[in-house]
Amino acid sequence: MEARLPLEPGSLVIRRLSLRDFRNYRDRVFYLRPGFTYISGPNAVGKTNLLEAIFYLTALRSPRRARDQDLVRLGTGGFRLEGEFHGTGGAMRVEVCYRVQEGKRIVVDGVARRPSEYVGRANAVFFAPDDLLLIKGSPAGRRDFLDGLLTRLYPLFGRWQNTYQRALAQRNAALKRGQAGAVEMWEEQMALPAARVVLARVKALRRLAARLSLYLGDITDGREELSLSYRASLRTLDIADAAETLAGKFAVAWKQDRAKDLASGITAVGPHRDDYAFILDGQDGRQFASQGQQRTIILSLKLAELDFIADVRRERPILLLDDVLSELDASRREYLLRTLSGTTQTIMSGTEPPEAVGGGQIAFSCIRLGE
Amino acid sequence: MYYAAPIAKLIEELNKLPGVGPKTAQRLAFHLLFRPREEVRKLAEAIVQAREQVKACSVCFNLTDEDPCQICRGAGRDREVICVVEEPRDVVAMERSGGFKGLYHVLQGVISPLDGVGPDDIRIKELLNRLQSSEVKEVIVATDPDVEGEATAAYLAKLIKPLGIRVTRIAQGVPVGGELEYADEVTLGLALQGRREM
Repeated sequence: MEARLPLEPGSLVIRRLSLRDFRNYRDRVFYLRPGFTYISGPNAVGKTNLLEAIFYLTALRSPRRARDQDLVRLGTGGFRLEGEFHGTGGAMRVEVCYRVQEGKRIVVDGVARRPSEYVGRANAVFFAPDDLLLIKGSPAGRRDFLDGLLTRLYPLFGRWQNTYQRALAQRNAALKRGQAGAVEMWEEQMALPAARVVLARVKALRRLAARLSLYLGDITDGREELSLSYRASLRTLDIADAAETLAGKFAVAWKQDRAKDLASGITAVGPHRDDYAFILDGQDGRQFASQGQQRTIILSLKLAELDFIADVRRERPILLLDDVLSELDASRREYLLRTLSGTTQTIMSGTEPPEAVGGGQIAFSCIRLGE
Repeated sequence: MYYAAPIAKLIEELNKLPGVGPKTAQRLAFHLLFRPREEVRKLAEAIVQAREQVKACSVCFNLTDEDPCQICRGAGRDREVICVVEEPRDVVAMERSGGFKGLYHVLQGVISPLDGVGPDDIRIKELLNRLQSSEVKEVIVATDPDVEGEATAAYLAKLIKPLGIRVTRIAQGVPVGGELEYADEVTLGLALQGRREM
């Protein structure tokens, strides 16, 4: 356990959160403490919305893939969130104002900032029961998880991904319109971003897998071994390739596929068609992982995600557990809380009464909603 | 019906302008209704005249009231350099900078299959014709630094280089007067990639 983090960085803590016209909140302020906070209350009182607001303040987007205009309280024209964070860099006050007509404005410590200047300064990990479906879910879901993490950690990754997606959409449009002469020009724009996206994903998977195996080994007493395996649509991929070499391989593949792609109207090869698999004791988890194994793996993955962000940002992110505890059995729950204790501000929600949660072993603050 | 018919029609037309929503259209309409007749007539005439007298220059496709345009006829311009831009307003921006004394070519758009715009739908053919019968030694491609602008720039370079003409691309990076500390990492990365010898 002690060897888990080679360098114990400071942790990020949100101390104060204020919401105005966000989801079901009209005007509300919460004061939060370091360590564990348990938000209890019946369904539909705004437990998830509270966690969503904290995540939004760090990532400037909803963890549930909701559009900004859907976060606005019914009958109003916008929302306002404000958070006071304390981290390795001292205190930071973040305000986000969103108006349906005008978009969002971000003010950090009294100074207006562009989103690209702010994203990554504060980080949080969101863990909801939906995440438990990651292993057997769609490839798009697995790509979203990985790309979302990389976008928040490395602004350049987001730029490569956007450039690739835009050029890909243009190539597909040229394919669908049968404009053979206007296909190649997009391949040139796609090649280097595609290579960088793939290499960044492969590298991130390797780092995640190393952490994930540690946690999984802990939970299962070393009985289960896991690796993450990248499944590239480009058959000639060699993960040791330099970005320029790999870009050249993509260019060759798209050129070879051009006639076939013109017939089908879609681009068959590229990072948008890639996937990765959880290989458990040599077998693909998509087919073989049991319900219990999936839970254990995703729990380990989320802890690995926390470590990954902490390593890159030199600051432990906030963990937001949305109704996850009830999905875990007593031993996994106990492992999770013990692992996080003293290192990570953890804000969790649930419908159970607070007394039922810690088993009396763990001290936590409570917020009761809907009373 | 809240408005008399002529007012409703005015609001409706103003509402079609870019950046003008229903509320602004209403404000503009009521503003105009309370201005002196003469002032309003001048505005209407200015709009109609501009629309009728302005056309694309037959050489560079910039907007002009005389053909060829002033820049194309200008005595003090360097005829060996052509700067290729997307829109007439890019010419205005370049001229305002005062740093360019060559000629222009306005593409009137960029290649974008998503918007149904192919290479033949913008003024590329006209640019190539122009290059074949002139003393141009360098083409500076100043399309926007987005995906479509970059792709169009690369497409042009491939067509122009075989003619033995130098093709260059405008640089991008940290804006003058920008604080380095707050330039986002992407901009800094681009600025580093485009660094030059001193």
